[in-house]
Amino acid sequence: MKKASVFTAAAAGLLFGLISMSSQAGTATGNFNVSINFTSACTVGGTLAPSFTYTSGQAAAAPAAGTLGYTVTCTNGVPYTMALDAGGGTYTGAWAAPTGTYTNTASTLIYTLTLPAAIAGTGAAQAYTLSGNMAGLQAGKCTTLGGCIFTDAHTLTVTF
Amino acid sequence: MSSVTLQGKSAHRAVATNALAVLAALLFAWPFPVQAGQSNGTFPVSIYLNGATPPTGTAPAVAPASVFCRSGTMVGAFGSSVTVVCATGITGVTGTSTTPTGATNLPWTSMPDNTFRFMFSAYRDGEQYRAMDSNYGAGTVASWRMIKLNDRDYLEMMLHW
Repeated sequence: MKKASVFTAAAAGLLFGLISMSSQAGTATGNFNVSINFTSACTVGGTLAPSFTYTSGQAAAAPAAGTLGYTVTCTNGVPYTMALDAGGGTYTGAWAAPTGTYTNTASTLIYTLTLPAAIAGTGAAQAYTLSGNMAGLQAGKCTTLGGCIFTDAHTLTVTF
Repeated sequence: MSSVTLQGKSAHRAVATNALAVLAALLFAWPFPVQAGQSNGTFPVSIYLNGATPPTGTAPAVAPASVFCRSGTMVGAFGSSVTVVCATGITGVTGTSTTPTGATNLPWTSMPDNTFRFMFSAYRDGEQYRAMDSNYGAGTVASWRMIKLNDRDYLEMMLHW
């Protein structure tokens, strides 16, 4: 009986020891970084097409008509500025924010285009309205009976 | 003394080298500043002087070059239109996608492919022009072309309903 008891006790002890060993499984942790390369973006939308209807020497100034609305869509929170060009192929001019002053070369008519103040991007399309003016008392130049049509191709630039 | 100085220089070089290495590591570790970007769009500014009429429609196409006349094709919400601007004024034809009433009475020249021809001639001498087939009518421009001869320009338009 004593031998059996001793054997039983030894077996129990061995089993307990094995169980104790197996319960020592641990955990290991590691940290890692997630990098996000985020590039801001802006786009210009709309069909901006201002126009001036003018008669040589007219006294009153002619405001720009046509399609004057456009949109700018920029990444949320991104500040940006808007500017027009300083002259092109069919016209000369200068840009001094917020107004550009241009001279159509063929007609010699002078007009201004003014941009509204830009606000920070919201991620949604932001609506703006361009304004323009052609001062009165300009003679202009047109050698065609029935009137002349002149077109200048301008560029609106959004910098962000 | 000289050896100390040399050691000092070496130490400075080592410090400088280490500093450069740290700086380089920092430059690579730090995100580069986002470069300012630009986005732009072009738009036309039109001037209609002394009675010139703005063409109707949207999306004007590039007009073909002509000594005497220039033409533009517009695709509007209700069809196409062609406006011809010559030295003596403006003439043109407007077409819509709807079938006009009395289309058979229009003085267009019927063509074998069920289109109708509109021919327009403009003489450069004295800036006179006359229309061979002149009419304002409703139709759809199938094709058109400028024919330049020595003494005149022709505009030929093919329309259908």
